[in-house]
This record gives sequence, structure tokens and C-alpha cells, in this order.
Amino acid sequence: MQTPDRPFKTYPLTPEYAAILKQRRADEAAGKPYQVAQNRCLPAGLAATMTTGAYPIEIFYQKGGQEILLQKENVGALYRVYLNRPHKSADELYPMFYGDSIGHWEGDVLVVDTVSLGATAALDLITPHSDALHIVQRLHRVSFDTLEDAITFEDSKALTTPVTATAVFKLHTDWEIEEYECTNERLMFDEHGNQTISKSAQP
Amino acid sequence: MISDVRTQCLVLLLAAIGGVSSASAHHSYAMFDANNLVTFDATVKEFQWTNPHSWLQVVILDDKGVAQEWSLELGPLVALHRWGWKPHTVNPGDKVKVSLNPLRDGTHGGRLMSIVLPGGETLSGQGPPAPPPAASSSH
Repeated sequence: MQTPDRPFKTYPLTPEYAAILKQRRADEAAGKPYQVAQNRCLPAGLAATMTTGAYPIEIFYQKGGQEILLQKENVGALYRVYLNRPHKSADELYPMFYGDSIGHWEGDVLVVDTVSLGATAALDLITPHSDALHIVQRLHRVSFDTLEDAITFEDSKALTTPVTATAVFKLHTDWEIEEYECTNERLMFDEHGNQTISKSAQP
Repeated sequence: MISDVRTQCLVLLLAAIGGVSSASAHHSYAMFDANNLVTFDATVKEFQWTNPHSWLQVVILDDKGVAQEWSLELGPLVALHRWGWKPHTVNPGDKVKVSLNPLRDGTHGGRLMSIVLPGGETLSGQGPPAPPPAASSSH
């Protein structure tokens, strides 16, 4: 289901991936929604964590400017951006939830480039992406309490063209990041993929 | 400002505009009938103040007057407390009115959209503002 703050409204899917989405929607209508990673309390992955779940994000600028740590108040949503190296070589990379992220400054805009996002297969809760997904974020603190994040998804297998949307964040100096890990997951899927809930708390 | 950003250890805590007022998606809501908002008088049995979702166990009398336990899903603890909820906003034995989207499979459960507390206050289960407690059926 889409949240009102979702930055992307549509995705230009290739015919192959449009067919995958069509099947997932049909399955969902039949009570068998696509099981995204977070259904099993695994990390949402970078794409889905930027498109779903209206939780705050915390940014740490550290190690003398060589590294930026981003944490979202969401299951396992933590990743580092390295400003002092290029991407790892292809043979060093492996499918990840939050990928390999490098960054650089263009004036007062921080550009974050992320690859190797093959541990998940959904841009949100249902729209498919491939292991070729490449995400570029352009983070700009436009005022003291406002940060804009222009997010671009590029996927040579799943998208016909890159797509960009901007998420706008407000500073909350009086908030704390809470722990959001699964202590009581009652969402269940039976052997046929039908989604329901358990009658009591799960261990 | 940027020179400060580059020379200092900086921590920013930010929230998406509109984010705290919207549902926090963790899974598909297809199992709930979003087109069917029903309202019941209920008695609280247990409030599970938890992640990834909080749950309200209530007892509702069915059409024959038999007590049935229902499981109602709310947003996660991390969002609920920013929407005005506290761990003891509801307590066992409280008489409340709950508005929910029921499970499609007929199981006694649903997605809690709003609740009227014993003192008359209305809270949303999915984020403010609270949806109106209109009902397509009730008992």
C-alpha cells in the first residue's frame, strides 16, 4: 500500500518487469502479496527504505569528513557512504541490502552513489527491480532545518529510463531515534503464500 | 554553513515532511478490506506496545451476544508515540469503540483505523489525523 509521502508515483518499467509487477498485483489481489524482505523482519534495503515507511533518518558526519553514516528508524536501516574511495571492484561486490555507497561534494550538494543492491527485489513493497539497480542521491541542506534528497533510480534491466523524485526532510532536534526491530511479528504466510495474522505474539 | 558541515562532527535528525502523519508501511495491507470500515463496542483485553506493529486484543460481542476475541493491528511503537499514544493509553478492561478494516478471510482481526477511548478522546491507529468513526455496520 502506498503512503501519502511516497516520493515516486510511477516507475517506467520495461515489459519484462511490468509483467512481473502485473503478476505481483494479481497475487496480492488474491490474498498472496509479494513477500518483501521486511515481511520477514529483514532490512528493507536502500530503495524501499527511501520509498516506504515514514520514519526519521539520522545522519552522522564522521571520521574527519571521510565517512557519512545514515541511519533510518527502520529495521536494520544503516549504511555508510565513503568519500575517500571509488566503488569496490565487481569481484569484491556481492548482493547487499544497502549496497556499496561512495560520495563526493558538488558545491554544497552531497552526491551519494550506491550499487550492488541485489539482496532485495522491490523498489517499494511490490514494484520489482533487478540486481542492476543503481541509486544516486543528491542531498542538499537548503536551509537550517530543511534537507532535500533528490533520489534517482537507474536500472538497465527493469527501468526504461532513470527516474528521479525528491524527498524533503525537516530537522527535529527534540526527537530521538527509537529502536525499531521486530519483537512481535504477527504477520504470517501459509504454505500457499496466503497472508494473514497469528492469533498471538510470535517468539 | 557548508564549511561548518565539512569541519565538524555533525549529527542531523530529520523526518520526511508529512511522514509522521502517514501510515508507516511495513507490509502489504491486502489482507485487510480497505473498503469496509466497521465500528464495534469493545473491551480491551491486552495492548501489545511493540514493533514492527503494535496490537490491540479486544473482546467484541458477536450478533448472538457471544464474546469473540479480535486482534487489531496498529502502527509500530516507534510511530505511535509520536501520534500521541503511550504504553498505557488503553488498559485491560477499558470500554472503547474501535473502527477497523476487517481481515478479508473472516478471521476475527483487522487494521485499527481509530479508537474512541473511555474518556471520549479519539486516536488514530495509523497516524493523525484520526479518520472519522463512520461505520458501515456495527453492534
